[in-house]
Amino acid sequence: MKFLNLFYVSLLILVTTISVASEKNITVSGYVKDEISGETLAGAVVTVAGSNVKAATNGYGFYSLSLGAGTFKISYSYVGYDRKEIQVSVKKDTLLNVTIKPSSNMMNEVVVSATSKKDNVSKPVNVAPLSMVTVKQLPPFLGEPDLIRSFQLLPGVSTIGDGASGFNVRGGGVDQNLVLLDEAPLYFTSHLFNLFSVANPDAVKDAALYKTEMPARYGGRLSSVLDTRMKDGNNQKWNVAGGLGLIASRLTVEGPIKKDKSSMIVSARRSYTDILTKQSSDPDIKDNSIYFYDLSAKLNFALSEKDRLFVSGYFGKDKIEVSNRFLLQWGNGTGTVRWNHIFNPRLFSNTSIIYSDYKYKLGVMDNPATSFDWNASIVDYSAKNSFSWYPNPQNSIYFGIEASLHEFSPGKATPGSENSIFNAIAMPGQRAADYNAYWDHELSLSDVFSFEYGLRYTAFQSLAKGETVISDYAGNTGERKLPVNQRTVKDWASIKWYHNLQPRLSLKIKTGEDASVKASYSRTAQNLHLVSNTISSSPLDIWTPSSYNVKPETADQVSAGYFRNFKENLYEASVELYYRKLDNQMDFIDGAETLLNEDLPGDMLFGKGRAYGAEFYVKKNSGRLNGWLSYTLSRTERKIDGINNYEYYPAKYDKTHFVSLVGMYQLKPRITLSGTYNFATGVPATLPDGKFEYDGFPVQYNSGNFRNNYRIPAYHRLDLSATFKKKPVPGRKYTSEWVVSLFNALNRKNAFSVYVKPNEDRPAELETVRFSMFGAVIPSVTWNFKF
Amino acid sequence: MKTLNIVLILIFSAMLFSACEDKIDMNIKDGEQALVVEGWLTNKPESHYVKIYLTKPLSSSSSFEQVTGAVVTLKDDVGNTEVLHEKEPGKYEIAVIKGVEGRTYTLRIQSSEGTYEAISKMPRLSMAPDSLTFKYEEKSIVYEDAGYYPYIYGQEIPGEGDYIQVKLYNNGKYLNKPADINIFSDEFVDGNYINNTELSVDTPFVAGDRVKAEVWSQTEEAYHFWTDLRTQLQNGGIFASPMTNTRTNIKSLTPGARKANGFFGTSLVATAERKVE
Repeated sequence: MKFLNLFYVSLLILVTTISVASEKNITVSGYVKDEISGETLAGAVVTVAGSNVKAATNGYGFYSLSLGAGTFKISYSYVGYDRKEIQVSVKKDTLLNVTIKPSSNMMNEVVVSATSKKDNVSKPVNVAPLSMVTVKQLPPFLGEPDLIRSFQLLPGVSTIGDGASGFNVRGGGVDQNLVLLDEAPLYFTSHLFNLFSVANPDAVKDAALYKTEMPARYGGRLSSVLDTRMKDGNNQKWNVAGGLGLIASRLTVEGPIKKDKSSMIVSARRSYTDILTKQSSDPDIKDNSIYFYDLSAKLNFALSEKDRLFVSGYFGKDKIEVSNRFLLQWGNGTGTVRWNHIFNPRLFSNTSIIYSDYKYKLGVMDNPATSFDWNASIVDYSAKNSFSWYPNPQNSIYFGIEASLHEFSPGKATPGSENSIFNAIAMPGQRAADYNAYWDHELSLSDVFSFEYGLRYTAFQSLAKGETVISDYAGNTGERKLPVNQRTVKDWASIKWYHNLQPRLSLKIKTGEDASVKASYSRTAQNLHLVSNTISSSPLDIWTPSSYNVKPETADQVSAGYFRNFKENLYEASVELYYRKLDNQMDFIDGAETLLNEDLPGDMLFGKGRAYGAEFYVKKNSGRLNGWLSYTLSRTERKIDGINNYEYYPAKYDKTHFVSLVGMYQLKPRITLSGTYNFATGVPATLPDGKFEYDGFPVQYNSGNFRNNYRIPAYHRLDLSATFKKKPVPGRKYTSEWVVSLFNALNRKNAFSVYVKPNEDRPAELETVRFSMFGAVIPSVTWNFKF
Repeated sequence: MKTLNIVLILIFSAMLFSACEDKIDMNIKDGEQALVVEGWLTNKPESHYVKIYLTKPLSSSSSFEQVTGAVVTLKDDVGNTEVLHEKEPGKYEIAVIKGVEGRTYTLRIQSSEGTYEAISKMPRLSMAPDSLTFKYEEKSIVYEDAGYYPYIYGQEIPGEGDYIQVKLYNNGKYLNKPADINIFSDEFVDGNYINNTELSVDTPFVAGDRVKAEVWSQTEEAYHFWTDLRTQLQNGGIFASPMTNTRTNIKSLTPGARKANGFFGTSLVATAERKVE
């Protein structure tokens, strides 16, 4: 096992170096927490007065500072919190847990970024954090603040259109983003046909999007990582918070199990769309039910000064029922157990065991002869062991190993009755395992020059699930290929190994007091692929692993940027350029059958892609008026033998120009206004240029077999909202606010797609139509409370 | 399955969020014309025709340009050959050769546009219909119009790889609106008795209608042609798939000649008929 060797070698280096390093320094380490809730704070900055020594807390709020013996003034800061200074005399390694207080200044509540204001300039790796405060301040859709929609306002991040699930980063597909919820991957991130994303913002502590480069500690997807962490729960006192919206309501309860030691949080959200439809007098609507819910819960225990245990879970489900005839439901479930251990003041470890599943069910019940139940799922079991090691203030090292087992059931259909016309069908399952080891080293050589390099090694093993038939596929490119040379292997037999070494490198050179130039290279590999042949991926799309016939997708990206802050970090600005090359990108033959197809590889096509662009970003971090402007100029193309005559064609999410303007304005101490405006070039569409008639039906004809040869009309959307906070009553902790919003305030019918179809009244004639997800302004009112 | 998915999504998005479809002008450039063949040989006791013409631009409302003066030859694999007579411009008649199960037919077109060929083997009819029934449905979210909806019955013959198409006629009029395409594969129903299976119709029937269902045996290639056509006609919404040309069995034998589309097919046909009561 190569990866194990690598791991042991790293461990050996680690231990030797630690012993050497420890002799020189004395370390102050501990957790930085919120004074009121006891939540640990990730990304808080710790500095020592009169020196360059500086550290930031890791994802669990742990920091480590190496100092000599003596007396120091250590200061702790975090955006939106009051800075705290502590004087300590250090003679030996010291554990120093610190709590800091959320800033009482109302103005400061409107903060755009969650981490240190200078991080954008000073760190080699670029991460786009959004504070949950910002997410909640942006105009919501039907009253529901939405994490993924908020990230789509950043440069380089986009979506195909209103109602499309997921997001696209720098020319990557929706399946090329790793969406983590407490380290567990989520496979389908949308509720209600893509209108809401699955994470309930009330339960989320922080979220960071790695979109420029991916540090080696992350992997498994090509484009980006959205790392979402749930709140640990208030370990000081009990709190209840919630909101009532037009379509859904939310409730979060959190509090200490044992003060300072352990806490819990339970957060639930449910739509009442089904309750609304049941009230309808129209029997057409009354008999239908559509709803979603999600529930997350987390417990954490301080086992000792050095050990902390977290148990968290998430369940989300959408269910749609039409007149007791059709049923469609889908949902994610995750469970994570994590154990944080402080080996010594410089070495922090986390061990996680993770379960994640995505399941859907389709039922047709209208008629005993044709009724059936159809189930599909993907289940992941993972174990991870990661270390944060701070040998001295100039070096932070993250390393670890991960292993996962993935089980796929692409489809199983059961007839609904004995006289059903259908036979029972069970698609052969698939199984795969992956093993990863990584080393990620952040090194600050001087104040001017710092870099982060890393290497991730992934070994991916395709395994047989049950007696498995392996086939080669033969036929003409661009047409359905048929299985040949079939042979059977036993359950758990190893079918194929893929190995991927993924180097990552990010450099930063400081070019002035508040300016730096950064450059990076990264290689990423992906072994789980979403099988989707539609404009927006649907909840019924299946995932498939790399296997005998499907090779890993890979991407190589170079990126460079100039980052500059102005006026004491009041403004930050950046320009970034990138070029990304993609290999083994999956597409499908014309007429591909992506569901219930045993010979799916025979319908697959593989090719390459390229994406390049420039991203511009200006942000005002604080003040009564703050917000940002982002502009992306980009191109994303694919070249696949069998499509578009093997010429490059724009990917379905390619947008040449993409602008987002976000503004938040504190009108009065208790009234905040916010607005977002988006402009984007229309996404491509494939349209016919000729027609003929067959058996009286109009037939469309694309003479050159072109793909994505037209663009749908440009997109404009303005959303507005206002938040009115109730005057707080002194001595009572009850607070509440009203949020009023207008989604699509310009009342535009933005095209989601354009296609050709027969005229309703004269079906022999074809016409070009646009489909818009929102044909009107959508107003909403939400009431949020906390006590 | 696909249709079901799309239907569901359209219903709900329309119901909840004012989703809409409206006509727009896209200024589409005219493409190069292709040769279209539309021809079918069946066991029905009537004349069969092969129509040959050229595609026209998407926005055009003029009539199709016919391919006249072509030498169109049909032969089977038991030694029969027939040169088709051009009865009207671009419309060639099959007068002699009969459609017989298991025979392979080759259609060859020698025209000013080049030489083209299509091959089709007469497929067995895997489900002869025993009967039709009708069920009255009130207007609802599932049924756009109130009226009688048709159901078909019949034994499917064991052995996978059969395909059928059901063509419906109301009082002798062929129903060919986009929602009237019914095409089935026996992949998941092989060898079963097909009972009470609903057929898709654009407009439900009313009492007194005389409904005829013709079941046509289809080859796999023809099944692909019809499913592609159905996808084109019913595509839309957020889960639409990219527009693709219908898969065809018309092959060009002349390098550089016009591309071809359309279909030359062979089918055995059986019929069930019933009055709506």
